[in-house]
Amino acid sequence: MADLADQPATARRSAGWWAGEVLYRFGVPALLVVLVVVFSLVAPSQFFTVTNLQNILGTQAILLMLALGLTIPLAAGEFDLSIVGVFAFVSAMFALVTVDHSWPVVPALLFALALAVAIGLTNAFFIVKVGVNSFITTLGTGTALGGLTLLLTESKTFSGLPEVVVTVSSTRLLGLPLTFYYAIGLAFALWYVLEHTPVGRWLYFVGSGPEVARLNGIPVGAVRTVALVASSLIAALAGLLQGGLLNAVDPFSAQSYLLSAFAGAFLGATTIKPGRFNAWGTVAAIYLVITGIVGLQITTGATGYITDIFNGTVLVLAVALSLVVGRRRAAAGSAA
Amino acid sequence: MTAPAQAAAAPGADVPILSVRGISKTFGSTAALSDFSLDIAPGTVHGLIGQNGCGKSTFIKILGGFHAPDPGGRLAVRGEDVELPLGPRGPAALGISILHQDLALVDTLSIVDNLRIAQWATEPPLRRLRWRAARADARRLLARFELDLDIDQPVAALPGGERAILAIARALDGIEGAHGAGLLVLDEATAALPDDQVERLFTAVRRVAGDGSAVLFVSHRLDEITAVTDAVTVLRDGRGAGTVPTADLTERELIRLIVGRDVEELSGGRLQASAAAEVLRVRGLNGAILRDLSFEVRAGEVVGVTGLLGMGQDELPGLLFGATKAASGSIEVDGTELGQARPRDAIRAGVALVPGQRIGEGAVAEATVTENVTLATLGDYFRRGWLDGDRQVRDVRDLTERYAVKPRTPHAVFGQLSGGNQQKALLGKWMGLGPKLLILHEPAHGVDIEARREIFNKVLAAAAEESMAVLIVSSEHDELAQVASRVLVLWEGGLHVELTGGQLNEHAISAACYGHGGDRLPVEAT
Repeated sequence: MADLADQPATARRSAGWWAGEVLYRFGVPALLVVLVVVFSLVAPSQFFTVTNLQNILGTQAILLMLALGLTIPLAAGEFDLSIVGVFAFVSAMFALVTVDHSWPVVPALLFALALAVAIGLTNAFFIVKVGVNSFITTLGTGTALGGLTLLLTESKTFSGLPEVVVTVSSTRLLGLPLTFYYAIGLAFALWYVLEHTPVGRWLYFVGSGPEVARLNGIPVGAVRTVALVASSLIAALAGLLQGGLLNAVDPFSAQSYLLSAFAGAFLGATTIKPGRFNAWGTVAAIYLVITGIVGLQITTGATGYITDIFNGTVLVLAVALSLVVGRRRAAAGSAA
Repeated sequence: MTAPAQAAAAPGADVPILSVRGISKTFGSTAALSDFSLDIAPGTVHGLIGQNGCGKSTFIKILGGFHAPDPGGRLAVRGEDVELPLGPRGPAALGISILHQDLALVDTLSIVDNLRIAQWATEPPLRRLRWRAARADARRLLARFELDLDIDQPVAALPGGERAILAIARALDGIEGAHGAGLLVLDEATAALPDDQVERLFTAVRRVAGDGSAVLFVSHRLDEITAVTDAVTVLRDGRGAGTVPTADLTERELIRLIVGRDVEELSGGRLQASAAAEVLRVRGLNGAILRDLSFEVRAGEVVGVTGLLGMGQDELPGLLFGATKAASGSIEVDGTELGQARPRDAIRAGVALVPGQRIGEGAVAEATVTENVTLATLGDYFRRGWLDGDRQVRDVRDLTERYAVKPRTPHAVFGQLSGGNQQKALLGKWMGLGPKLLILHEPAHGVDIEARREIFNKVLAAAAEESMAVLIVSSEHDELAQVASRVLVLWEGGLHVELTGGQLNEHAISAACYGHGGDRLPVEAT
């Protein structure tokens, strides 16, 4: 490429540098392949099966949606810890009005999505207008929503959701529920927005240099608000689809998703487009984490606790990795 | 206020607290300081003054142990030669304390915490903090400077003058505790102080000297130097330009020493109104420092704005661009009122700002050149639902060619470019919008000479050929003298003097910055 000819520094880079760069960019997908191979060799009859593939791809589509939604505020430099609160609250409210109060589906759906938008706007009010740290704000709203859910549902599990919700989410295509395809569709949509529209570039600049963004005429507050509303909406949709998949809404079900979604988004930011929160990085990271967990459960017989150990470790290591490599690149940059 | 302590210090009174002989410092091939000598007598306040780049900072950093001077110079404290370089712990061990503008106070902690921050006294066996002693010490320190303050109140609540005195009290405690008398260096300590607090600081400074220590008072401001010092040393181009007892000194003479030549009286007259249309019209603009500033810039005109540190000029770019809100006043660009505008309104009205901080304001270091350069105009590249990457790259490559940005790779990470290339890329970016008014804030900071020349050539060409109005806010007077057709010199937030035509040279600008001319300062201190 002409680019390379223009930049002798690039041409002089060693084979070792390139190897490091490739490993860095595609480390997560590569590790995913390694894990699949290792677990398949150790437990071929349990791990390397179509059923298990469907299990891995299908059951965690909800988690993938949450992580993709979370990627949006993270790209804009804001945390959103309220996603699982929104997930539980909105799906429970939808179940409450449809099951207990027999609302028709469409108004119930609009009501649910309006709640999600209202929560996103509440977060944005405190974060953007008042200037409260997003970590604190969303930790608070998320926790409050969890409590509110238990209060309003009297901690009970709803079953018998409207037929259409169940059909739309759990109908199988090629052995996988439609929800899986929605999650992949969401990944495409997010990839498109982040990489191919001005909004994606704005999100990135608002996250990495808010003052630069402002001095380039970008409406920084509006971008942050949209990001928080988007993650809230996506979390609500994930909650509704989860309700359809299980044909039940359990107010306690969501909490375990929070750390996994963060682990996925942060690990995703170290790969594909390293240093940036990106759609396909999040997809690869989520499936790496799930494969690791499922594989360990199958091969070692470990139970639920392994999820927490694995997710917690991955989250810290992912952030550490991105810092270390970020410094390496910065050092290489200043030497050039 | 003359303290009896002076008599007690009599035996050593003739020996300078600090004696510097033939100190030089070269960086690469540039001499920042050449053969500099200085004596500071105990019980005196000694001024140090000079323009940006005169070697003041280098000297202070040598005193602070950050820089090793070139071999050959000597430095004696209280008559005894000390080993050079001093090293980071050297100054404190010798009884030298350097106080910078930021004062190094922790706002959220109490006065007593701040006074004891680095030297909590502890007692065995558990190294328990000796609170009672610390509190008594704190009260004693405050009493010395007649500060009647609650020692448990957080420092954040104190007015600027009291904060500065607190920092001085702390510094002095360290010096005197070990040596009885030492040297307190105040580096632009008044820059962050409101006027009414400056006199309080001076009282404290005189008291320090009265008690037998010496003070090296480093400042840009002639009025402060003449008000508080006993003698002044002037640095010019890295060399001592002379040491004069303050009592024998007129401001005019001091300016001559600083600038290096005699300056003629300024007529202060305004330029004849040019025929070109006004592009920028500012009326009664008030900001944090700026007070009632009015001026205009016409099409094709290059106007410079300068002043000493903290005179308000650095506020101007942000206010004109809508990045900071003006307290009041009107800003009109080509007839559009931008007094309370946001940056995007300013951009729309045809204003472009190349900000003072390239990284952090102008660009994100980790993003590519293309991403940074196209940020303000992304909408133009969004066609049929897709950002046109090829066209961005083509345009940026074109820009790198026209503005000689190296490397010419649109995908290069912005932070990897040199300062000059970053600045050329940002200039090209904003010029590409065809602005009516281009604002440059310290455009030559960290930019090599060749890139400077290229940048100013582009700007001057656009002003001449496309009637672009240009406003350059800069502290580099040689640069302003070369490129500006008018220079506004600010003093304490207001317009001090406007220089045009034959008055427009580096020395006249510098002299005006120090208060020469205009009606705000008497030229001769009588």
